[in-house]
Amino acid sequence: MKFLAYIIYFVMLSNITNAQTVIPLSNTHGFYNAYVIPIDGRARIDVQLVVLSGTYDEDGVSGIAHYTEHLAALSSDTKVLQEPRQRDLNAFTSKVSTVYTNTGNSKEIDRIMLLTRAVLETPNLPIDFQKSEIDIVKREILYKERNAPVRWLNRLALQKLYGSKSGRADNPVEDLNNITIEKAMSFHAKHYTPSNSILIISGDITQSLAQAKVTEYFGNTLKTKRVPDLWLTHHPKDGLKNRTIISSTRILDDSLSYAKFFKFPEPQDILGMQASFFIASDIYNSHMNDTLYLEGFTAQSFSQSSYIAINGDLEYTATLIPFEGVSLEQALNALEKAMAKMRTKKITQKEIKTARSKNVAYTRSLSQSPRAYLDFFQNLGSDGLPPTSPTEFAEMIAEAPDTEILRIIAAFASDSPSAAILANSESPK
Amino acid sequence: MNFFGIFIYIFISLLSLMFIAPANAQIKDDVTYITEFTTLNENMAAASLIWALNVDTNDQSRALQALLSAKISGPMGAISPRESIDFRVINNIDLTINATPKHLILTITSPKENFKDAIKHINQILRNTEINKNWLKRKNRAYEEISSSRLRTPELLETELTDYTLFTGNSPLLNESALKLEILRRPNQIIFNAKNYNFRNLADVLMDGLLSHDATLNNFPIKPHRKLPAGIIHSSDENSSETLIFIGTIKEFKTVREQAQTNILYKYMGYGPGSEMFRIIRQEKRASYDPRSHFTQIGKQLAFTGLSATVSSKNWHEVYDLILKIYNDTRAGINTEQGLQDSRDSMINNLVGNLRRRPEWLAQRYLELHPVKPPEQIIDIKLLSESFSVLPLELNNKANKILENPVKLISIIIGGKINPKMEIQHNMFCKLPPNKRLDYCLDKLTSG
Repeated sequence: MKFLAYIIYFVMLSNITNAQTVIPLSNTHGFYNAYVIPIDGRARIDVQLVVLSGTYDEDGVSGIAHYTEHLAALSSDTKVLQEPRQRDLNAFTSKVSTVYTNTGNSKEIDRIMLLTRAVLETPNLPIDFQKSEIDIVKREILYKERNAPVRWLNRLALQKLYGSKSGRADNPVEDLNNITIEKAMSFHAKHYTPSNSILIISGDITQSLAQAKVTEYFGNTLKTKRVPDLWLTHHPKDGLKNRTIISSTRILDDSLSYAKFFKFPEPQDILGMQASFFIASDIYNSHMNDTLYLEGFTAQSFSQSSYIAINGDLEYTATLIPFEGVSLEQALNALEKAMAKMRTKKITQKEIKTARSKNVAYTRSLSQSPRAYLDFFQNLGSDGLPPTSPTEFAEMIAEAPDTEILRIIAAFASDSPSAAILANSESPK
Repeated sequence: MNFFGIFIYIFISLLSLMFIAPANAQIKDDVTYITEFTTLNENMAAASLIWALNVDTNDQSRALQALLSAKISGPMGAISPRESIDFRVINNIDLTINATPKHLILTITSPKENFKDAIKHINQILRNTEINKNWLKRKNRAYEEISSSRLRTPELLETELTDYTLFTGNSPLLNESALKLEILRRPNQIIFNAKNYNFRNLADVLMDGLLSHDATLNNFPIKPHRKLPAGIIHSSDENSSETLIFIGTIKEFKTVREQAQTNILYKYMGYGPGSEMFRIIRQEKRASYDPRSHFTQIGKQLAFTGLSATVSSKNWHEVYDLILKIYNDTRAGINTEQGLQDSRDSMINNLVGNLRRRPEWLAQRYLELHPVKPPEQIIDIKLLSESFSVLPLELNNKANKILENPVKLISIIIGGKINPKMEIQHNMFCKLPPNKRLDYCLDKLTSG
């Protein structure tokens, strides 16, 4: 394994090119926060408006945040562009935020700012168009569901974990017929305010020009209170171990979907934890993957995902299709056993070093794609935290303390509330 | 080492490359030919390893890909799968497998600074003679074909129709040990790609310790590809909320220019938000989230072409008529100047994007022209120069000749109720029985 050690050393010492600094703007006017990230050599400007509300913030009907995203984007295009609706939606709804991205060259900065500003104004589109956009949202949700049937299972697991179909869990397919224009307008009025949004301007722009443009287009906005994240108090029952067995023709293979929640006893410094979280989840995921997939042959396929909320709450989800001859029950047992083993597993320095290197390599790979940069910026921004640039993140990765990393791995492995869906695949008749 | 080095440079501007390669020679498995391109983005380097393997069944092709994938993913002596994965992540090494009826292709891409290590890593993989049985089981399952009528996605439909067209034989599947031998040997060709990069000695590193022996599979000739029949196939589902509509064909072009022209017209019909499918089906009729066109090159002057949309099952036949109207209107040549210009720009952007970021795409285009060995002097991939020289405005006058007559297209409907008019009036109609693959109807329609 000499070659591996050599490569790790090499990567850690390499400088990341195109260093970028995230600069908070001094006058954010009504925004919760605003930042500029000048990037040398980038020929374009990207403006990301991050509305700090997403599907978690929906009030009873799933899909409202998503539908509101469509209306706001289309209304903004209609107001500003000469040929509206001649581009696809430039927006994305996540659990905790809705992000609008407008892009152009330096000469187009005013148009980009106008488009951004228009997102926050009450959507103004013909009623028939607004109504029929509900059909487009329906088709989109069903299309995504069909492409990845496992989305449905993950949703069921989260519903069982949180004992709810709203907040940290949702129910978009069953709620498709409950989406209304009124509910979307009400969601927009409540959540689409400057003080519930952050602005990230990146690329070919200076700090002074960014500040001037924010003042020009948002100077008349006033600071109000941010919409509280009510879902942060949404926790599973202590000691929950929900196990549900179902059968369905919707999935091609028997599938196990697993969701788990962990709450730290004390409030956490979430910004300080970010880099440690990335390294810890990499190490934890690698161990689970080794046991169940790479070496263990419990899984035909195995995927994992984790999320850390602004208050430090951890959510871990996993999807497993059993390997030939392995039953769903055996797969679940193996998954839980692997987790239990992690509670006493000694994590070596070499593992931590490797995980740091993988994360640094990831930030280096971002330079291949401007889109990847933007995803990176909006990742932390979606929680209302200052965005980090890949350069800064690489430094944070290098400095993340081992003790913090180990503390988060222990949280991942802990015996905490969980839910599992054991889904048997049925052949269609 | 007995391999020939031929260093040939393709630039984005290709006006000076006008030499036609000589006819293909017979495959020699004791020789490895090296070709070098310079089209990738500045900081990236790639190598495509090509085994000449004539494969006439989809099952055989998938088995070969699964075997190579298991070799890549499984343990290698003392090196565990985890160590290999971490090494590839840390070094940003990307591996892709592609297969055609004539070639199995493994492409390695990495930043230039890690490329030598990437090549050593690939050599370790190729030299490893033991393929873990469980990994092979896993990969065989992963490469199993999924029926498009089950998940109802246009991507699966494209794969199913393409495989039906390309894999035309019924040769028995080689057993595992025979298959292993096919890819334990040295590749027949290696294609490097990077700008300003010295590949010297890397072919030696790649092939160090690999054996040179005759392949079994490439001794068999390949039958020509099939044509898709015309007609209508309906896999009905009265309980479905959504129905996939596809109208298209696999088209063989008389010239490369005709291929580029057809590509532009399909882009005009359904590529991106400015297209007719998006404008009419999504924005005006509000009928579908994913209306689009398909144009995928699958062989020499051969492409999968068509229009598709997933719509509400209640009114699928109305949207079907609308899609046909879009096709007929485009074919009638009543297309906007700006739209055609934009579509031409989209095609060029795709082409340049493929040259800069997808070395496996360029390798396939090259192999379609030179499946056995490089030409003596210079490579002329005419698709590139012809694509650049198409004038969008000339297309309106020729559209009815460029696009296939609609009666020669195949329509595939997955989901929804059968339209009785279509069933009765159309003498080329096939109702796909539940749990049957599309082949059932494709064969039936072909035999009339």
